[in-house]
Amino acid sequence: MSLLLKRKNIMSVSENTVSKKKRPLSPHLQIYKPQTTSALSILHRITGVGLVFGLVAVVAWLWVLAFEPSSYEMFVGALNSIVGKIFLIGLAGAISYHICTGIRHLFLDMGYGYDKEDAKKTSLLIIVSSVVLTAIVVVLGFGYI
Amino acid sequence: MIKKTGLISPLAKAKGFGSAKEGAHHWWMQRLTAIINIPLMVWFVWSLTCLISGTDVSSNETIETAYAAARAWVAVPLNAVLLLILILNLCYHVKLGVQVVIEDYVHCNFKKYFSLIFMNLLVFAMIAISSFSVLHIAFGG
Repeated sequence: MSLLLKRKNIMSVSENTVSKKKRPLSPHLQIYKPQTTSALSILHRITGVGLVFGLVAVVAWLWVLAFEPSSYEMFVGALNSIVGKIFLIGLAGAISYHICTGIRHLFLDMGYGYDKEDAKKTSLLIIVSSVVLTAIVVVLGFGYI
Repeated sequence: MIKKTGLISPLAKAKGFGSAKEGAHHWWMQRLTAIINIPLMVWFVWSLTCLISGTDVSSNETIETAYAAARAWVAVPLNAVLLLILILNLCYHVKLGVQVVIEDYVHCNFKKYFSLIFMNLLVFAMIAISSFSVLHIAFGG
């Protein structure tokens, strides 16, 4: 029993010193110089989280379509306002981008494209193709530009 | 004062957390839902652009036509089924993705589990609301 208590004391002391001492951390995102590849990588996450708002909008659209016919005009009107248009164009861009980088992630998972030069090329391909896809959706859907 | 012991035995505590017996399931489902989402999202965005491009919201009459057109589109059996698959698949993908983001950036245990639970509830609510709406339209309610 006394041995057990002693052991407990030692443990709590060592735990305290561990929590007080600043442990070394691995360098985090803000330490590194931003690169195209790292910017694309974090943008995949940001667009992914942003697209949740798009999903909420789709859910709201389906609900209004099914149960609130009198509110449909207001709903479409909100999307047709300047803020709504910016939101929709942002969604088109986020979807295009997230799909493009997502496809690259799938190839990375299979082991392709880790080479430095390949990564640069696919990054450029992602930027170009997501801009083109966004433009196609915006032009077809909204008749802008 | 009642001492809090918890339900975990001292042996289990000493052994640490170890394997959660899930292995690569999360990782694999994230990829699987991603692959299924690609064709479904292309179809959905394409369909929506077609619906929106036919909408001119300058008069009341066209708003009614747009409403009828959107409802008719959802009511087509193939569209309704694809929408339901898309909703489930998308929500699963969102659940897995946002979970990783929360686990990576939220370090306070209370905030972490609160946001994880809240996120899961939100995903369940979105599945329930949207699939119920699609079924309601599809069954001609």
